[in-house]
Amino acid sequence: MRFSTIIKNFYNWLTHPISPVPVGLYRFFLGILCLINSYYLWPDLQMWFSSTGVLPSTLNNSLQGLDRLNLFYFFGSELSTVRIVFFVHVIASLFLMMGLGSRIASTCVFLTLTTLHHRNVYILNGGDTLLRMMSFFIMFVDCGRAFSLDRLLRIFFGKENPGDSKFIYPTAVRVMQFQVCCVYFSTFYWKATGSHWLDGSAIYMVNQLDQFSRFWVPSLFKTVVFSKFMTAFTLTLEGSFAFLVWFKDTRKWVLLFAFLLHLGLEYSLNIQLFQFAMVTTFVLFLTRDDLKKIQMVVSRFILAQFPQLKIFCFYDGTCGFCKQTVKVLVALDILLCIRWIDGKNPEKTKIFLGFDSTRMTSEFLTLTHDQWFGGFPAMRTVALRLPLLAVFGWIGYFPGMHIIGEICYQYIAGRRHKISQLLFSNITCELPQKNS
Amino acid sequence: MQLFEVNAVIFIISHQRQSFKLWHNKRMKTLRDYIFVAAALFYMVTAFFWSMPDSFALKTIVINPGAAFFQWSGLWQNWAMFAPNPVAEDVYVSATAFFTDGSTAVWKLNKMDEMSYATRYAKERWRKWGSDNLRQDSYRALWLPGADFIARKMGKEHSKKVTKLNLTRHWHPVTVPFNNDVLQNRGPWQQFVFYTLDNADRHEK
Repeated sequence: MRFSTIIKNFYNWLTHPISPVPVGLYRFFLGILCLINSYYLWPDLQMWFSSTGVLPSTLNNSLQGLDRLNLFYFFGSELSTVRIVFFVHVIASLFLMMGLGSRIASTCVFLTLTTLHHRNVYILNGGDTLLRMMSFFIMFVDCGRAFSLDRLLRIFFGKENPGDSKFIYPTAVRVMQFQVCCVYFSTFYWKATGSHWLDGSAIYMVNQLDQFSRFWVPSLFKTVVFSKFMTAFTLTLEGSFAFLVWFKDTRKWVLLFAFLLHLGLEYSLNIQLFQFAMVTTFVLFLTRDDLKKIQMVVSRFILAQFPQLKIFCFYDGTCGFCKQTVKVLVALDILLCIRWIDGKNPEKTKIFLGFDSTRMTSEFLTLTHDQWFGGFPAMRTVALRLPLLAVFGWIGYFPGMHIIGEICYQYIAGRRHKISQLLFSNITCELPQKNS
Repeated sequence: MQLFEVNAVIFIISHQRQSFKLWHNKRMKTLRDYIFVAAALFYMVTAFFWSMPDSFALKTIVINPGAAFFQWSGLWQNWAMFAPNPVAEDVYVSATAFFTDGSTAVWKLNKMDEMSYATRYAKERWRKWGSDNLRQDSYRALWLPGADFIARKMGKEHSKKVTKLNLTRHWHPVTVPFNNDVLQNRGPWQQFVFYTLDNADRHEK
């Protein structure tokens, strides 16, 4: 292979557009991690970050210098200001998780998180560092292209179709992947210079540290043999991760072993969120096809255990509003348990016993394994099968909700022609207009 | 004939404009690619050297150009966890408060194994602050504000005024002979009062 070919391949690796699905999923996980981190920071907010806590801002400024990104330099670090920055961080993390205004949300997350970290560096662990760095890089990624409310809104307004996300510019994603490899190789290099890691006693020593202990660890895992095995395993995995993860043949194995390692560490060691922060970055190394395969496996397993989840849904194919709504629901159907059928197409509906074409003109229908539902009960049945809407499905069963739900459904269904005209400039509704 | 010539000229001009636009867009896209690739390479090289030990060859020279940006933006990093070797001792910090009525109270700030599973996970930052930073002589600047905060907190909890507060570091070694018999060979706990806050007249020791 020629050197110029290597350069060209490296250049293409950094610039050739990629699927937004893996980084969209990582954005979702990053938002969740930031929210959980905020949950643990909240009780001690005054202690860690305010001027009446353990580190006054004047002392912090003299120790850290004024050359760090820290909004408290400008606004002071009274408790009220700290709370405002904290709440902005929480709201931004929520929006980042949901994928609503992803660019702005990621920028706010980075600014507020870095501000909090620079306000008190003495409470930070490796997980904090990784979250901060990833929130920096994700600002430069179009992370709202998948697994996001932004995408659902684009589907609803006809700017995109389910299943075909526009490819995104990859450079920042590649840097994120490189950063993860850097973490493993760097820690391997540091450990490779330590006598306890080389003689196999490192894991033995870590198991003795009560300050890091979490759940009960059997005595078997505190023996010489286990220590030598796990020490060697840890060093080998960390040293090889940065190289083996780039090859298709070895990628899934090295990710699996790294996942198992972090799972064991999360069980035995009390280090807040670090293992989750590392494991969620593995998604960045998966491709869209990998995630599709995982989805198929999970879907088949769940539907094999719970076959009653499979249903047929009949919608009005001549109604623009209905079609766009169905597209959104298709995008939310992660378990792939719903079959969507145009109820106005006789060729497709003739095989279904009990299909009422008259009823079809006025409401949405679903067929479970033994029952037909229409209107609000049908929507409730669908919501229960979509993981992100399942909570609303359960709320629909509360006493009295079927009355309220049916009223709302009929109100919207009766005005779907007007809604189509109002919301969709290029999608027509062939239904005759109904006077309200 | 004249109309034909006019149309031909318009076609040629618009075609050239379109070609120029395509060529310009392609050039700008290529320029964008070059800038992003350069920025990515710069970050990758700097981050790699930054995360290596100080003794790593050329580290200081390579990270120097980007050091200011890395420090400012929060891209500084250190991945030396339990490295080069795991810590060889269990450590925690306790605070002993002396009240105006003569009573005392002891608060183990970060004795993690004596907390519930949920509490120790939530309070992990207390371990980081107390064991990794506060108790160390190199971080003596943290002693006064830390002790002051703890004194206020303990005074509020006991509804008494704190006249004096001792910060004590506790440690015992875990470097035991490498054999199967683990639990019997752990060293005894040692302790040392590393800081005293005298609230009576704010004298420090």
